[in-house]
Amino acid sequence: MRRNGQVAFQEPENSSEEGVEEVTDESDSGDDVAPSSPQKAKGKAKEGSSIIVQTAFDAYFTYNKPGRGQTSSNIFSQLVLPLSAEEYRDAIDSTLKNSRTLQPSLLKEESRDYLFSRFTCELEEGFNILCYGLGSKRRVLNQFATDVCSKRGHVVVVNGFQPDLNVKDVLNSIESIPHIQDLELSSTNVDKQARRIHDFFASHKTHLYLIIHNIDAAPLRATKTKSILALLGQNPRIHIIASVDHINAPLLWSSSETSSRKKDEIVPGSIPSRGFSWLWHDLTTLASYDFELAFADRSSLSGAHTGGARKRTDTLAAQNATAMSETAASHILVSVTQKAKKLFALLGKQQLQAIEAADDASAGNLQQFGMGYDVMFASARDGFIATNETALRALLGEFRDHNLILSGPAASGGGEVLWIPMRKERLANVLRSLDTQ
Amino acid sequence: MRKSWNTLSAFLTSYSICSGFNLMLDVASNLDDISKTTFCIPYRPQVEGDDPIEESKRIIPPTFSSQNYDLENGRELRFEAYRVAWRRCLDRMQEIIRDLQRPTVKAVVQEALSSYTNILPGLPHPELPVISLLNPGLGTSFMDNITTELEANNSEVDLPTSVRSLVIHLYPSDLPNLSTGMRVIISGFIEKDEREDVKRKPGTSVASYNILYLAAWYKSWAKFVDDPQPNLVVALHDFEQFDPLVMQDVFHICSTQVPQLPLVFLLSMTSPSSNYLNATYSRSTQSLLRLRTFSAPSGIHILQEIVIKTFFDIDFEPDIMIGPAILEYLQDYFTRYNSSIDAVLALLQLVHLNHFTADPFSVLVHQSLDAGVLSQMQSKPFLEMLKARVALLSDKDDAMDIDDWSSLTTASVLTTIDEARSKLYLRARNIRKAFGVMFRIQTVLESNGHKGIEWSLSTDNSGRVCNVLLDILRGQLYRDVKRLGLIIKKLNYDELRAIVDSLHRYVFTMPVQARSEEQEARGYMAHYVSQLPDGRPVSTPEIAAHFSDWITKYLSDKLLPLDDVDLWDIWYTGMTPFPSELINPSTRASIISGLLRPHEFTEDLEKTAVRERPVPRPLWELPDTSILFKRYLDSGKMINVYDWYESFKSVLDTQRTQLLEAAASNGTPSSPRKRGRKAKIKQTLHEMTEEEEEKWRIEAQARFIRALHELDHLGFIKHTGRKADHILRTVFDVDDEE
Repeated sequence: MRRNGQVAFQEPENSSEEGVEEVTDESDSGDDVAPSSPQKAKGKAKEGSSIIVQTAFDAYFTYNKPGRGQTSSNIFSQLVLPLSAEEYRDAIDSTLKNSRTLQPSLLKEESRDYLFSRFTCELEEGFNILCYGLGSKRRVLNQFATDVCSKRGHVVVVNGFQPDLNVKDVLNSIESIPHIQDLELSSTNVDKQARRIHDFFASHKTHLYLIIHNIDAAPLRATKTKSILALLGQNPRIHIIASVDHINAPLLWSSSETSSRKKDEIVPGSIPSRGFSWLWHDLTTLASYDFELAFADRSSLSGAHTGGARKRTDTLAAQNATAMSETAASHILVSVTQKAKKLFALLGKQQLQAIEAADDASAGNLQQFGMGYDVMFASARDGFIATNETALRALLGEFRDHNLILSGPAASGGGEVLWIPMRKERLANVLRSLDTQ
Repeated sequence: MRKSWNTLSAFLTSYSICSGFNLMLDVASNLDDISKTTFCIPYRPQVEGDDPIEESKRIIPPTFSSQNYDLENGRELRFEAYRVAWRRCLDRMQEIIRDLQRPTVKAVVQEALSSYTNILPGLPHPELPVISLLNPGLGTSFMDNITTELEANNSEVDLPTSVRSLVIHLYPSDLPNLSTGMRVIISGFIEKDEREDVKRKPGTSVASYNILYLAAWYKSWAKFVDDPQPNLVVALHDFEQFDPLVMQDVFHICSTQVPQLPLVFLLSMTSPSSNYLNATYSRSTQSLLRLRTFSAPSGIHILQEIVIKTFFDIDFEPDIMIGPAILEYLQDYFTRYNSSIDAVLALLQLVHLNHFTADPFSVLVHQSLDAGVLSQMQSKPFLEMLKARVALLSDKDDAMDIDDWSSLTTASVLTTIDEARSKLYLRARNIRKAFGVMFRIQTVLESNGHKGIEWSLSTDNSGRVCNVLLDILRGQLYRDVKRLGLIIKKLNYDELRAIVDSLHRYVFTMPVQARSEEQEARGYMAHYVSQLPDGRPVSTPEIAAHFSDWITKYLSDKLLPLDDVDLWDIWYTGMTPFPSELINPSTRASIISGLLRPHEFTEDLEKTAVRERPVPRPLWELPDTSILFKRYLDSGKMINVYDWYESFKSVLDTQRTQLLEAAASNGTPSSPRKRGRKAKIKQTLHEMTEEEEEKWRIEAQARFIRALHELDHLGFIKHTGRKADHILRTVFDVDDEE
């Protein structure tokens, strides 16, 4: 893969000088159905000559040999500009329009009906259900909730993948069920709340179906939350149907939690046990996780990484620093003075020219197309935008605060370089709209 | 600008829906609302006060391979049958478990109640009684039994004075830190007070986490309940998961108030290691405690006890007999993965559920159906199928003759079924009897110091007996029977006498039905007892030889396999395997094969009964995430994201070319291609304007990010700060296809 990556990386450089060669080059890669990596080829050759087949264990030890891993020194975030939310959405929309999705046989109507009636029977027999397998299970489980569960009892659907989910939300949502509302809802302590819900369903004959999407998600992993869910999960009239996606999700529960049994009936006043009594079901839907990842920051590589609260502030900061959308830019530009707009246009045009001159827009790093501070000051004075340096600094201040103009040390020699963190065509659009105004 | 306006208006519409008037209006679209974390769909019964599930019919799920000969209400009837069969089995097992627990429960309760009555004299300082309870196998019911016993006033435990006690339960999440923990303990006891709440002036009482508060309350409460010194028991569940730093302070604080405040700590441990406390807590903490350790029965011994007493005990007849495949799985699962009783119960429940799901004939387990029901029009397919099966039984040459089975009357079919049922149950009983006999002989032999037939009953946790049971079910016990005969021949008077006595007792104390079947055996046993008179040793070889011959014949007659009986599969699970993925799934393998071979999940399993090895798809035909994952598997342990992206993009380029080509030729992409057309497509690709090129690049990047985030969501990626824009692999599986 490494070499492959490098070859691919060099391609754009060639393309500027040797357009013809590039075509033949591409036709080669088009010919073989998929470009295979050197390692893969080696593996095949080995297999042909010997009967020893590599296993996962071998792979582990091969890849974890001491010594440095050999990777190239390309840096993604420097070479490729992050996408703005709109660009991402447009691109994915056009992808979705063109591609066909795979429909697993499990989701055909008759097998789904079979699955649902199995779920119901198992839930009523005192088990909770946990669905695993590749693909978003949200749609299927929601359908189960609306088509089957809602006819049998109250249903609460929990979107565990939402980063701001709180166990309190879940409990409050359960307590918004009409009959529970009639109770005296005095305490707002989560433990008391959970206990109250537990007691309610232990003594009443109504059932509660708790659909939890991504019970392995960060907000539901905390011990406190887990113990509350375990309390609810052992109630004979509360049924949990949950989904997991993470490969290590089974490690969340101890074997005694996984296998503990629900009692048939709860004696009032007795001490409730805790556990889940999971039954596992493979529910591979192959569906995309777009809804689950709606909160992921698409401009960051680690945007989908679930790392708790710290992650959220990180991604916010990152968003401000890099992804500047057209809308955001136009909002800023509307609120600045005429002179400042002129300054922006000046810098923008300069940068656009530089990008076009470089003839290699895809290379990413925008700093190289920036404008030296000295040059800028001179042209600003010539254009009667700012007569002295203080005025220029003041004009730039507004843009800098909003990260519309960034500055950094020049690559060659000293001095400061200013540039606008926007892709070529985005910048062109902004400048055009600025002109029309 | 226009775009942003669209977004805004879309947002406003969705907002008006979600904040809108009716929750129930359109639930499905409402669930897609991204601004809410939870959704509540209240249940609205048709009639007020309706009981939702108890009223609605409960049915067994349909079979996957749609068997079209089921009765009209067959699923309902089978569910009923399942309930009856499982309930009987469960009741029996719970009784066994209670018996297993009883001695330990009694000892623990005794210890907890008498903690403050017989304190060792002459200790330097009073110690805090701590009872540690090792309970790796018996599940939550064990702890429940103890606490109910403790709280019950009329406990079976004999104590000089009736001591009552209060119990509170704490879980690891209750004690995140010291002050919260103490508050939970103190308020836990005070809330149990039946007296009316006393109003306290906030300024004058001690803080709610102060142990003196509890001491003061205890003084007044003890006076109120008129009890010399009731104990306060704190039960800590899953003690290993409590924070030791917090717990050591709790112990320290509580020990300052003993014995005025008679606290007893009951620690429920789930690990079988007995020195957790010694290993985790410091000496200074341990010196404050008076530790008593009890352990509940555990290990393969409890599984044996349950299996033998439920399925191989003459006193109990289960409706469904488990087969060797299930028993083997049960033993394997118990010894390897999860040696807890709860798991065994869940497993056997699933076996029952599965048995009644798989075959519509299982409706006949308890009684044959009413002839009237069968004569109904809707039951015709069921009856026909049943007749066909019964006819097949009488036909030894396997040739199905239509006249043969259509001539059968319903009544005769039902008689056949009844006969088959009693025959199977008789055979199962015989197996139980034979096992009981062998078990008793072996017990006597082992108690006399013989190895016997090497069942090693006396050594716990050997698991040998389960293997014996497996041999019995498979009908492979002849060797043991023969050996037993040889051993008996060589026994001396005392040993023979002991065996005969034991068996005599056994055959005379069987349940009524079994005893009546054993007329002959009882006669023989009485004969042998009279042959071996008390106190007068006689020459034994002839008797022993005779006895040995008889017992060998007796056992061989009894130990016949169950699956020889007609229609055995209605009552016996035979070689049907346990659906192990229900409780012990391979989630990782499932996800990885979903990524590597997504197309195999789209095949209809019903139609392609015989599967040939699937043809591997070219890489570009796979979904984006799969392409990226394949590249992931090709790389080293660290991946440079940029290179990954480039290799991904090159596959997308291929994909694009192929799709364009397919669109141009309007045929399948894999059809033989002509050089000329391909060149033309290359031409069009090359002629792509710069704008299009840029658009394609953005699309590729978006798809890369999307696939990357999906892999991250699935847990395949570990981010690292060690090298810029590098990630670490978390999975090192290899693609089997290659």
